[in-house]
Amino acid sequence: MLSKLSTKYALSAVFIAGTAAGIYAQAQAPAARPQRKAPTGQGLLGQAGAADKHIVDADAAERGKKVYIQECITCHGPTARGGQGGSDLVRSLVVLKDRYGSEIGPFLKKGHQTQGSPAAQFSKEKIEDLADFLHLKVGDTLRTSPLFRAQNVLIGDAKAGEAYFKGDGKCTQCHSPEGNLKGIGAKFEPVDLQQRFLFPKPGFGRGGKPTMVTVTPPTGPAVTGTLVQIDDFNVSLRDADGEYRAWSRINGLKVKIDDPYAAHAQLLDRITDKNIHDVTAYLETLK
Amino acid sequence: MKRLKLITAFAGLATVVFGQGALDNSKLLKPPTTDWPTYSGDYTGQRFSPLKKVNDGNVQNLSLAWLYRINAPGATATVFKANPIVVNGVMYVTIPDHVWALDARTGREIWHHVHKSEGGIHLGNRGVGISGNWLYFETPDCKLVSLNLKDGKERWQKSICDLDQMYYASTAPIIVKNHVLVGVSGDDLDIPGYFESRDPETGELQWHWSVVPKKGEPGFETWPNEDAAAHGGGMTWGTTTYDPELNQIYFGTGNPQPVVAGKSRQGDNLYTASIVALNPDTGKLVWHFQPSPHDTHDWDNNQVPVLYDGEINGQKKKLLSVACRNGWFFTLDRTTGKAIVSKEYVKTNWAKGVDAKGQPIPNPDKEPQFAGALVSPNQGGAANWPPPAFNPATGLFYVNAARAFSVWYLYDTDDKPEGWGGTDRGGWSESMLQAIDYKTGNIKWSHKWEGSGGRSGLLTTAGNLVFAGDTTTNFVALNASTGEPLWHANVAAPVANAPISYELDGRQYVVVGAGDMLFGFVMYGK
Ligand code: HEC
Ligand code: HEC
Repeated sequence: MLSKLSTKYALSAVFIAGTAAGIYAQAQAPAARPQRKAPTGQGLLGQAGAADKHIVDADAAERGKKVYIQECITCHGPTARGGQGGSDLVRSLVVLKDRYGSEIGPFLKKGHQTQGSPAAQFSKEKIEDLADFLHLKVGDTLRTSPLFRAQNVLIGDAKAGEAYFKGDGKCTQCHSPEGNLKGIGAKFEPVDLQQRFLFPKPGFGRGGKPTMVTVTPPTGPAVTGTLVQIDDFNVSLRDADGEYRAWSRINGLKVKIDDPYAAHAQLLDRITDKNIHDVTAYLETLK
Repeated sequence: MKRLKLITAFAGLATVVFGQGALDNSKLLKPPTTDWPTYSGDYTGQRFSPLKKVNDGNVQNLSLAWLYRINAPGATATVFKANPIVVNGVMYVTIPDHVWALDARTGREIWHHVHKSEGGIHLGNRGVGISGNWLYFETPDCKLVSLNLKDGKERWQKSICDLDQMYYASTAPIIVKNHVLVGVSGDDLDIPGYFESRDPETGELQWHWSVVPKKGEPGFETWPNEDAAAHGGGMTWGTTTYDPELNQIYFGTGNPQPVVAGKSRQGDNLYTASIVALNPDTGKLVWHFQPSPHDTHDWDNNQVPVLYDGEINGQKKKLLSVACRNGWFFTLDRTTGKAIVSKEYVKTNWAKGVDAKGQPIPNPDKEPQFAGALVSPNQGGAANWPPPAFNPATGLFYVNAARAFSVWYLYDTDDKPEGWGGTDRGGWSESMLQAIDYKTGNIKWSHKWEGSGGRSGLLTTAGNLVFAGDTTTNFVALNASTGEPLWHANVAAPVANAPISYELDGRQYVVVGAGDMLFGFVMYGK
């Protein structure tokens, strides 16, 4: 049993790698089926699971969805997470251990109940399509799924947001809706707008306003410039002429940092979730 | 009398023939000097070195003795997040799927073992465990592998988790008597967490402790139903500490699952996000304490439970302290698990106060929301896997901490959310090294790092030093009593693990990992 399983796994691994689809087709499927490529760009999260895990073919999953609606949905539910009488299939070991029907097929062939056609007579193609659909539903619950994304964040009151912007929020000290925030609502999706106003400081290499620093040596004049690097031991900057200047932080060297984002950092301790949702609703109106 | 008991505890191992490089397991019971024989140096989790050849008066003279750089074509996760183990002058260190033996005096490679992987998340590996002639390590594809110490040849491998459920394994096995203690990871498919003891000779299961109780067991009442409990999470990827006198092991458990969308698992969700004490021989739960009841912020509680003897109100006590990912510091009576101190070590905004047991009470408004809730800490937490340190001489608990905000969103609109069901986004953070008074939880000193990000594990020594990585690429020594930075070396990549220290031929070494490099510092002369 074990060795049979592992041969199957080995075969599907070859199939995935795309080097010997022919062998697979001979051993497993009568008609040539599209080659499956592991999705790329999923990084660390995409590594989860076995190297030979089932890779979903979108077309097959679409066909499988039709079969699922016809034969399974009333019991196992619209997302296959269980429903009237049927168990949760996206957490079922029969599904999680399956590769291209290897477990789902034998399970159904034993004569599992359906909404119509006898499961024992399902064709190989039908089973494979169902397998693709069920693996797709498993994938829908992962962080790598395209469904893994924010819902509606526009639940706030734009009027209250405007009042906060001009009042307690003190936003007008640095911003105005006609000035530097003009049209901001049109530039970003609401959730990105919300993120942007709470955390405007961009990450590494994404520009943004430079941090200014003034270094005053014990002898000699103060030098102001754009901060390049600071730690407990050294500080460096680029001065107005574009010159790189560096000091060791010893002998009473004075360092003063001017972080343009400081007001936004301080906001985090004050602002309520209601304020946040209201301000987002307000900024969204600045189109 | 006590001593006798400890010796007999190892009697079983004394019958085997030890090789040249073999670990005399009784060293695990003492603070580390010529060796660093287990993850934290010894069973206490203190990461305290009694060595003082390097101290607050001469640390300026610490110099680089060697540099080792990974040369492993095809390796993916080439960052030294592992804690090196040193036994008889040989250092054993890992990245996922790779183990090296290095000469601890020179950094020269002695052998290199490569595990052929069948998948799994290659996030990091925390290092090896050693008992007698044998080495043990876990792999991303769910294997516990045993190697021969002298040549790195494989003795056996055993599966300890199921890749098809997206488990993976990364922890450094801890050896307690004739038990190899292993934990598992995996946060994707709503799977149950567990912790196991394996036979050091064969790798066979000795006992299996399920983090989430089954129907009818105490704690089950903190779950709405069997289905939620069976998929309740609680991974066990932290390190384990051990009190031989009480015969209790201590470790933390991970967040419940589904990770962020908690609606179908109402209740406290025991024993996830908890600190637990188990009997190492039976795997039976002795006590538990839950820092994050009904967690919805991925705040795994796998931070190191540090053991030490202290004084509370003039009474000597066996204590345990943890600086948790959720921003709270606890001192517990480790005999009973009763809380003595419950206090934030960085400011947070998710708790309404503490209950009668000393556990924080989560504010439901700060659970993730569809429109977002601003929460501190963020997902990374106020502390994470990098281990803290405790110095018995200063009485201070040190942790490299972050104060961070992010917005927590629910994504999954299903009646039965599964997987993460949401996440946090964005953020702002600042980083600081906190020195905490264990008796009160008060911050004795705080050293704020310039900038943010980066965090390393810690080492503290009898030389009144704390060794840490800063938020840039410096390896720093600070005065353990005052927090004053005394020495640093730019190691060209953020410090990625926790430093260790050992003495060979009368010279004290301090070793730290940064990126794909290990740096061996040494004090020459007197
Ligand atoms: C009339 C209701 C009903 C229908 C229709 C139905 N099932 Fe099921 N199914 C169940 C029940 C009840 C269980 C749990 C008991 C069992 O294992 O038989 C189950 C179990 C399963 C399992 C095993 C779960 C596990 O982990 O043990 C799979 C796989 C499965 N069904 C697939 C399907 C597929 C695919 C279809 C459509 C072709 C389908 N079912 C149609 C009721 C149904
Ligand atoms: C003390 C000055 C100051 C205050 C007060 C302030 N901001 Fe800002 N804000 C800034 C700076 C500086 C930036 C960054 C601009 C850049 O990166 O170019 C910024 C960026 C932003 C952005 C992002 C603009 C973009 O194009 O990405 C938004 C939106 C924003 N702030 C909204 C607010 C709101 C709402 C408030 C009040 C709750 C507020 N700010 C208060 C200084 C301030």
